[in-house]
Amino acid sequence: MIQQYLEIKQRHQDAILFYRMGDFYEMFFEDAHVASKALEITLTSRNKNDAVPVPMCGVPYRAAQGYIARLIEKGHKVAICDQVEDPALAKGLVKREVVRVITPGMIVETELLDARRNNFILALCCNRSATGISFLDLSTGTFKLAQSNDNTAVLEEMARIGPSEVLLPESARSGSEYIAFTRQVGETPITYIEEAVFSYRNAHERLLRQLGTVNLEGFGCEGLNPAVGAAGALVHYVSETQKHATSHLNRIETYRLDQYLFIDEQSCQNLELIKNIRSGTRRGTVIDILDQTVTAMGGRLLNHWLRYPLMDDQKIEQRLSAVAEAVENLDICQQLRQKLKSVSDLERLHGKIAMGHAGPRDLLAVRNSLMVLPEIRTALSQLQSERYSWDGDALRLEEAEEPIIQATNSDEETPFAWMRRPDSSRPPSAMMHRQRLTRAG
Amino acid sequence: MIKSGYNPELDELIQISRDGKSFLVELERSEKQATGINSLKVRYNKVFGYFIEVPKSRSESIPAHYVRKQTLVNAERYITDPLKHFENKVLGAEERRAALEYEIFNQIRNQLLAYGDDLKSVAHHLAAVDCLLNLAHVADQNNYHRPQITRDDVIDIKNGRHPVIEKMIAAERFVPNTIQLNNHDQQLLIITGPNMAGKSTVLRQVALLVVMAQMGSFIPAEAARISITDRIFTRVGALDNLASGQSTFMVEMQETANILNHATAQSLVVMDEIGRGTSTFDGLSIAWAVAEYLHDLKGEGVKTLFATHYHELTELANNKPRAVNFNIAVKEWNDEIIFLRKLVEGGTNRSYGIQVARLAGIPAAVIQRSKKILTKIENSAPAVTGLPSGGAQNDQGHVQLNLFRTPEQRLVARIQNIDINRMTPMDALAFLDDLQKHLKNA
Repeated sequence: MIQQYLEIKQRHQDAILFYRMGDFYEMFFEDAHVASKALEITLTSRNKNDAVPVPMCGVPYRAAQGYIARLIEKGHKVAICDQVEDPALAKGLVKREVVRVITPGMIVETELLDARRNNFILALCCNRSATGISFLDLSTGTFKLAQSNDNTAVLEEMARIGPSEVLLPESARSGSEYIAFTRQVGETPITYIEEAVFSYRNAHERLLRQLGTVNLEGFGCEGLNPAVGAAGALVHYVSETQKHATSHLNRIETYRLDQYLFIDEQSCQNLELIKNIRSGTRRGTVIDILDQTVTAMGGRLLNHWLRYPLMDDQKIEQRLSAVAEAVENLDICQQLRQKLKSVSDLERLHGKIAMGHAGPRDLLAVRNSLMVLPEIRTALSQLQSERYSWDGDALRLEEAEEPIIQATNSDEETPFAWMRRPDSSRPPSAMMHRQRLTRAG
Repeated sequence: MIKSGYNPELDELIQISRDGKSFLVELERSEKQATGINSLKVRYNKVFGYFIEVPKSRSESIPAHYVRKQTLVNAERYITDPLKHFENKVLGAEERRAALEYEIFNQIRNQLLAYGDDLKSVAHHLAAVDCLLNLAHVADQNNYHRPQITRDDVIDIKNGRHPVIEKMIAAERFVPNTIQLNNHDQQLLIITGPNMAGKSTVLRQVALLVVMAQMGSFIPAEAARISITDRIFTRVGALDNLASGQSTFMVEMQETANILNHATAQSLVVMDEIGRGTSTFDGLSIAWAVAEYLHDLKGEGVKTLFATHYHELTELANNKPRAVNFNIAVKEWNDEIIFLRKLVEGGTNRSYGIQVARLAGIPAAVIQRSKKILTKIENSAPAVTGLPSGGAQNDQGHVQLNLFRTPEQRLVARIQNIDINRMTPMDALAFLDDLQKHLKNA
């Protein structure tokens, strides 16, 4: 068993390996030392009577999420190694594989995320003439890139994005061109990745495959070499850690750093836009006053609007006109806000569905959100502003409700028989098999 | 969760387990009747499946077709053929039902996934709708108005308020302020006034209103014209620079310089007491130099709000065409001061340090003593009661600081420049003591 453990651990040196044994995830050797300290759990040892006992600690499988969250918060990565065949059917040692690596920038569990904030991972890549950055939020599918030859602006942009993890090429460990950037990163965990992953050719190809396109012109980033390098590195890292489909990452947005009103980090702090200078909280900040949004998606977007004010007068006027119309029609406005309250975080639910993490409750949340769409559409049709117009996508989505509404009712208590079973933590064994197929696809 | 009628097979499986319950009830009733054992029970557990339980005391009266399965301390458990048959059917059905439900769940999930892009764009649309309605709601609640967006390099705010502070001082009415910045005759606003008068609030609210307008929000002002701004820089002079060493101060100045290099005529710069972290003359020269630099930047200048307690800077307005003095009005009343929190044109030459100290809770004895000292200083050095003579301008337009002041002037400058808010009563006493010694020596 230790043999199998060591083989798997070999491939995940920089993560704490959660090795599934029965109802526990066990950690061994150095991992055990680190985890027992960080989680305040007992350090014990395996084969106590051997000359050299193996240090070990463990957490119950069912309570793992909380422990994982604490390790991530402390800047560690966690590799989840599960039993991938039914122990009852296995001959000899049960086959195990790392099914996912969880890092600060690669969290998809909504319970571990702040609903009102994006959780970005950022990659940065320099060449002689320019610096490219790209960042994504795996939970929502938000994926952007930008490039500039003004390093001060790039540094400021990094601060504005506020990533929870940063990817840099190996050469950044010593390369002088990266010094300013690594200093800017500060306490945020950095993951170094082989140089080749950032190369334009590799990255370009990987990006095309991820976005399902033949060139990047449609996304406006063809030829932005370092930025594409950074974006490609992110795609690489996602597939390395997630090991399953990420079809929701199918668009990337190219933007210019001078496209928005530029407020440097220090000014943002002085003005207390997002964070209170003294307490570090939201209290007494501008966002605290302005944000009374009723959906999680709206909350995140408002945060973005405040941090990226527009410079295009037409776009500003579009928003202002829409706001003005709602102010003039306050009853419609309040009525709509009331209906929006029952819309769940569709952005993150979509991410979960795409990555195969969605459970029955998630589907119910989508269902119940889709149910109110027609009412929202009707209410919106009373408003004239361009920004409120309900486009084709939404109409198509109303078709999508059909099967789900037909098939389900809204029994939220016990959606499925197998969840009622005494050992409801896992579906019956026949399901294990199916689940694995989904992951493989 | 799956509706009945959606999948016939599932309905059947559910029916079996539902029927099973009534089957068990019926079985228990009929077996009780047949055996005459009223305490007979039909039960289920995970290890043995379904069984009939009879207390030990009655175990002699069971029929012959009961097969013993398990013996407990005070009961016997049996199985019968009909019960065995039922068990196979029901348990099989439960397994199949669970598997089928999962399959249907996956089907729905995949169907939904086919609409993934639509789901995403609807999510985005609803997010934007939520934001816009939210801004309307907030505008209504807080009495915000629509700003006029222009490109004429004029920022003109009529009765603007600070969106956060106005909410925090609910009891006291927030005093709105009218302010205009433009690129031809009112570009560099030098704002003087005592500590606590609200310079910082006025400064920040202008920047905040620009940010809010450009994010598409209504703003806390009666009316406003906002010319699209490309960058906003705000710098606040740190108080502890001297304590943490001159190098930090230099770093901060370099950073400021670096940022200022990017400023354009469409930018907005807010400088709040920069240079206060260093000694008086250094601080004054830095503040002066930065203000001049901003006024002259790239030949066209940049819109700047410049708050300072260096009254010498008010002289800039005499020498620079686009510099204008403002101050935050203060009313003196019976030896006390009342902050009117109103921005008015013109400079001030008093810092009201002593009155501010009273408000900040400095003991009355100290206040009395410092007033005497101040009067004495003012009487002995009439030159300083007018405009401060700190900064003079030579013909080339370069700043030249008068470093050769009389001892009295130096004392006045010291009193004017102390930051009483940052002093403990002990510090204040020590300061007074120090002043007195100087006066005695002089």
